[in-house]
This record gives sequence, C-alpha cells and structure tokens, in this order.
Amino acid sequence: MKKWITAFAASASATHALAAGGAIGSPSAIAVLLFLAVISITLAITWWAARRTSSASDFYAAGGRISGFQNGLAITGDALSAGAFLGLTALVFSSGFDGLIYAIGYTTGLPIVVFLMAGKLRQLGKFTFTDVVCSRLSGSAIRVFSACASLIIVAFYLIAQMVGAGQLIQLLFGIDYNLAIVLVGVLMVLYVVFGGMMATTWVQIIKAVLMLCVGGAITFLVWKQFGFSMGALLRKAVEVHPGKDAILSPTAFAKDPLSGLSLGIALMLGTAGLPHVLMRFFTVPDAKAARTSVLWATIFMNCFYAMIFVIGFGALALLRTHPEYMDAKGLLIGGSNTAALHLSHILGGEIMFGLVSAVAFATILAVVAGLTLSGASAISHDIYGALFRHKTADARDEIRIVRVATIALGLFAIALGIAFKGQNVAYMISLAFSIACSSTFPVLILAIYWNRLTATGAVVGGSVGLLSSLVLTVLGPAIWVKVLGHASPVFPMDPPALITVPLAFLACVIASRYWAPTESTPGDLRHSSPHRGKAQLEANQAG
Amino acid sequence: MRRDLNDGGGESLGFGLALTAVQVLVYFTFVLMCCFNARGIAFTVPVLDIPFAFAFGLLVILCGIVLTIIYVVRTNRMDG
Repeated sequence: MKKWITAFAASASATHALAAGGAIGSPSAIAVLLFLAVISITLAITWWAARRTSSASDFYAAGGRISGFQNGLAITGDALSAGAFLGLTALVFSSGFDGLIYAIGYTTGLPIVVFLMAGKLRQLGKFTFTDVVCSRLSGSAIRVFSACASLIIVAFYLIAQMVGAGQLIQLLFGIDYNLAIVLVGVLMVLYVVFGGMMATTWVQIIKAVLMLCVGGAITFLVWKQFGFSMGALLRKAVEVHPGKDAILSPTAFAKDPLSGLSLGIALMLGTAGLPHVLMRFFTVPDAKAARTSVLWATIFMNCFYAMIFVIGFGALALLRTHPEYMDAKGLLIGGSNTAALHLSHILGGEIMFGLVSAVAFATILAVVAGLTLSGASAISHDIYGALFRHKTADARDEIRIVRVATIALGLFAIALGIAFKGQNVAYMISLAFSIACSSTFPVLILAIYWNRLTATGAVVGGSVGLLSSLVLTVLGPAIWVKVLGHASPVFPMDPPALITVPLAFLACVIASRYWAPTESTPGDLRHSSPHRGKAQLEANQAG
Repeated sequence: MRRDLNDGGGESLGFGLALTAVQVLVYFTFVLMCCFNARGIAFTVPVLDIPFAFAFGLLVILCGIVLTIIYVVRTNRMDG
C-alpha cells in the first residue's frame, strides 16, 4: 500500500514537473479537444458497427465485407503501432542509423506474406490462422497449441502497448497512469464487445489515415527547414549529435553482428507470424481482395517507414538545438519516446502538438483493439468453439463466449498494464516477434507447403520454437542483464531468432518423420487430407 | 457467402518463391553489410548526397513495394 502511495506521489510530482518544463504534461486545450474527438468518433463507429454485427462471421471477420483497399489501410493500422512511430523516432533520435534498420526490417515482412501465404490462407482458413493449420492437420493438440501460441504473442504485445499507452496519456494529458490504463482498457473492450471486427477495422482505418497524414506533414515540415535536402539534414544531425559521423552508419549491428543478423530475421519473419495481422485476411470477400489489401498495406507502410528516415533524423537534428525540450541532465523531457511529439511542437506549435498527441492516442486504441479481438478469437473460436462444442457449434453461443473472453482479456490487460508500470517493456515486443517467427510462422509455412507435416510434428516443432525463444530471451542480454541485473548474459544473442527459427523447422521435420502419427478420431470433422479438409471447409462456409 | 475453392487459382508457387528469393537476397545483403562491413557502406553517394547505407535502406523499402505490385497485379490478372 505504501508502495502504491509513493508511486502515486512520484507520478503526480513528475507530471507537475513536466507541466513546468514545456508543452508536455500541460494539457493544451487543442490536445484535449482532439483527444475527446477521437474517443467520440470511435465510439460512434462502434455503435454503428454493433447494429451490423449479428453472426459469428460478422464478429470475427466483419462478414467478409471489407474491400481490399479498406483492408489495406486496416492492415497498415494494425502494423504501425505507437511503437513504430514514437519508438522508432526515439530510437533514431538517440542512436541514428541503427534505428532506421528496424524501420527497414519491418517493411520486409508483408511482401513475404503475400508471396507465400495470403492466397493460401484464404483458401484454407475461416476466421483465424489456427483454422488454416487445422484444415491440414487433425486432432485437438494442434488446435490448442496454435491458439495458445496466438495468445502468448498477443499477451506480450498487449502488455507493451498498455504500458506505453499509460505513460503516453499520463504525459500528454496529465491523467494519472492507472486511470489512463483503465480508460484504454475500457475503450478497447467496448469496441470489441459491441462492434467486433467491423468496429475494430474502421478504428484501424481512421487511425491509419490520420497517421499517414501526420507523418507526411511532419516529413514535409522537417524537409522544408533544410531546403528539401536530405544531405543538409544529415550534416546538421552529425554536427549536433555527440556520436558525430558514427550516427550515419550501423554501429550496434557492427559491434555484435550475430545479434544483428538474428534481429534481421526476427523483423522479417516475425511480421509473417503475428496472429492479429494474419486475421485481417479473412475480412475481405476473396483471395484476390486479400492480395489487393496487402498491396495497399505494403505501399502505405513502406512509405511511412521511409518517412521515419526524415522524421527520426529531423528529431535528432532539431531537438538538440532547442534546450527548452531538455531537462537538467540533457535528456528529453518526458523520456525519449516523446521525441516525435516535441518535434511536432517545434514544427507546428500547439496545434501540431495536439494533433500528433491525439493521433498517437488513436494509434494505441486501434492496436490494442486489434490485439484484443485476435486474442479473444483464439479463446472462443479456436479453443472453446472447436474443442468443447464442435458438434453443435452455435454461432450465437460463440459470440457470447467471445464477448466474455474479451472482457476477461481487458481486465487481464489492465491488471498487467498496472503491474508493469515503470518497467522498460521494449523487450516484450521483441519477445512477441521472436515467438511469432519461431512458432506460428514455421508451423504455418510447413502446414501450407509440406504435405508430410503431421499434427505431432507441428505441435513438437512449434513448442520447441516457442519455448526456446522464450528461454533464450530470458537468458539473453535484454532480460538476464538489463532486467534481472546479472553481470553477463548466459546466452549472448538478442533476439535468439537465428537459432530458434531453424530449430523450430528442424523439430517439425524430425518429429513428423520419426514420431508415430496421431490417429484422427472417426467422425472427427477435421481431417489430415488436404482435399477432405477443403471439402469440409467448403461445407462449413456454404452453411 | 460461399468462397470459390479455386480463388487461389492465379497463384503460382514458383513465381512466389522467385520474388521471395529476391526480397530475401536484397534485405539480407543489406543486413549482412550492416553487420560485417559497416565501414564499407558509410561512403557518400555523390548524386544523392546521402551515405550509401541510407540509399541501400531506401532501396530495400522500395524493393518491397515494387515486388508486391508485380506479384499482386500479375496474380490477380491471372485469377480472372
């Protein structure tokens, strides 16, 4: 209790100190107005979507009525989290080119998804990626495994977003951290419970459009200051940064090449295994629209990540010449994650600052809503719907379960968001990516392309990938040294993808070949033969 | 809303694999250069007035867009 009070007092005084220091922490009227506008518009969308959501297909996949272009924007919304905007700008602000490597890595995942997976996902699946895996493999073990892997990935991602959300809202609007977490939790539960995929999709679309516009505006304004010359911008950056020339070339990657390579793998393949992104392929009418949506998403996302080159280096070059945004120690007021917000204040004053703050808030809401929907679907559709009630699956019943699951997940997210207060949660995103690229991605690729994969092989391989990435991350520099305070890591590489991805593939192959296949129960709806699986699926969808 | 089982009909595995190979090659050349030859990509490209590392990074981003456009336009056209 005492700890809570101290924490509360500390946060209150921090907010007060910030209010004295600059724009951050003193809620401007414009920021508050836009903040309320974001909340009311998204709730109006939810109310509109709720009236159009009645069947399970409406709930999980917006009835397949989203167009390719709209879905492209929604995928952009899912993939561009606040971490992508605020986090990457902060990374470039502090370490220069190293931060850009992340931005570049994030752009390489979606093309792989469309070349290898998008069409097949649509052919084999119904609402979730677990459906796709189970259309090829029989038995409940693989369904439970896929659903649990989804839940674990979603949980890590969600905690990171919640903690980031709490800090950001506390800083921007002077609201207490715990209250901010509860606010975000309540809003995301409202969107998902009442509006399902339809509301979530439109919240994503609006947020993606806002984010692209704001990103474009900041890029333009930064560039204008330097006479539209990237060269001039970079020279100014080198001049003001203590790292001098080193900020223009990879440094951390060169220092620890194996970790760098491993990170490269995780950034590319992790995107291809994120359940909330994969789930978006089921919201469009057909495979053609699924591909069109990735086309638009790739264009929008890659353009945004290219803008990070200018936004990040703009923050680096401009903020260091404005001491009013720094505290006594020469650090950014409100932490390095606020670099993009301070930058917008330099460029466009209160109006731009309020706008960017509101967009950052909308971003967090949209991403947590997408994650919650994906996690709740894993519980209700994959675990409950298919395991406990698969013979008499009643859509109305399933929707009731998914709503209960959403509320439970919301409470869970609020509790963890408060529990992890003040922690550096950046490693949780890295954990989510590591687990995605070494568990869901190998299982999905092999299920689609290797017809000798058995259910046992998939469960063994996926579990080996999941557990090894979890254990090796805990033993690695991010947790063993930085969080647990040991002197040196047991496992040197961070993230461990370089080891765990091949390990997962190998375990899938070995277990499929040498482990006795599990017998499918007679009369089981799910079958190992791809043709019978498809026929069954067609029957399901026709009905 | 019945989905056509042939709706992945325009999909060619070979073509998809070929584009994947290009994307992987371009991206990992970039990553390997960053890891093992950071000094080698630090020189300034005269015409663009930016370091080669930046130009290469932008090329990776552009490559993703171009390959995706090629794949989707071709596959969707064959899909009818």
